[in-house]
Amino acid sequence: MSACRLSPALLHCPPERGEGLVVVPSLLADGVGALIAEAVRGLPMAAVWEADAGLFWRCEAHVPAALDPQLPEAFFWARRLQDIDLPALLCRMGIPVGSARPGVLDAIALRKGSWLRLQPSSWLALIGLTGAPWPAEWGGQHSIGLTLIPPGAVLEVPVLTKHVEALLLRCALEPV
Amino acid sequence: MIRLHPRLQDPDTIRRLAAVWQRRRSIRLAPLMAAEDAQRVHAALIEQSFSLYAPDPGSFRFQFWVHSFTPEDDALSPVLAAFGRWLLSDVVTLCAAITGQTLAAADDRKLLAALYSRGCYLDPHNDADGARRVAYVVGLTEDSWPASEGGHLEFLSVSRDAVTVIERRPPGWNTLDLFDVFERQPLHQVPPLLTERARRVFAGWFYGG
Repeated sequence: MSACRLSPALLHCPPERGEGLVVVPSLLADGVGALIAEAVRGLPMAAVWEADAGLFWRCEAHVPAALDPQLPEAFFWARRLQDIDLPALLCRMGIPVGSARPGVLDAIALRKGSWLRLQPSSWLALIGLTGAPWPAEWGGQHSIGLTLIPPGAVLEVPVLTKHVEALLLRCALEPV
Repeated sequence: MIRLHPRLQDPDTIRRLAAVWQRRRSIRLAPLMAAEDAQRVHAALIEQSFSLYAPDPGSFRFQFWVHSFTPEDDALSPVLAAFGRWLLSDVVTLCAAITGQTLAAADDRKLLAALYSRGCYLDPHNDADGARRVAYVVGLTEDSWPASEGGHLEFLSVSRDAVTVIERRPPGWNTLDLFDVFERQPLHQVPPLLTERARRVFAGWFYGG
């Protein structure tokens, strides 16, 4: 199992839970998000529409527990992040949840025409790997790092109107 | 059976439309069908299942929902089958009369119904492939919305410094957009639809006879 790659600052001082959406911009240690993004970029994404989520590109990657040289190492970092480190962090924030789909990376790409309207019935984490470093009027704006959506809350990402790309991981969580 | 709107059965009307075509090589006709036929086709269309169609990132990009069929498909609704036969016969004849060209349907008789929902778009292109003569878009969109929400058909002028919209056609009800297809035809596009709307069209090309 790979090492924890959360930002060291979070290990000492977890963020406040607050009300509504929780945004943690510096979730990952330096450079980790970019390396996971590079691995995710190689996945065969397909455009999908989900009634409770929106229209976007998506690929599920099944990542085994043990390192496998056939897969990018960053996938194993992401698996550990989703299945172990993120739930542990949330638990310390007073949100006792675990991964709803251990070992499955739900990778999302926002490309031209993509939009999100996430209204989960259970806690949902979005991990922005690349951010959206373009003008807000292009759409597709989302936070880099962690966005935590409580049950019943709504996260809207407006339609992306240009040929740029943002990569995210979607982590479904369930109470433990 | 689907019928042309009575106005389009009048030779004087066709002559006037042909004169417009000669000047502009691009035209919108409305209404296209008899009113009750448009309602029937629309009712049949919204019963169909559509698949999201978006090619992998590459050269020419688009994203919309499609339902592809031929009038001869076994499982097709009778109304859509009648519409398809009509489009590939009467409408070809109508377009030939307006454009002054000998036109024919595609050999495979395939028709494409497209649905643009929120996020759908069609990038700039000019349709030219050396064989297509005329592009058609049959509009069956009930709703209307401002161009700022996207989803309108836009014709573009491209210069070294700027891309300008030279004509914008909103989604239409019972309309037929026709435009010439040739190598240097201006580009056209449908910018991303930003809101929850439904633009419904049948779109394709007629070929040299």
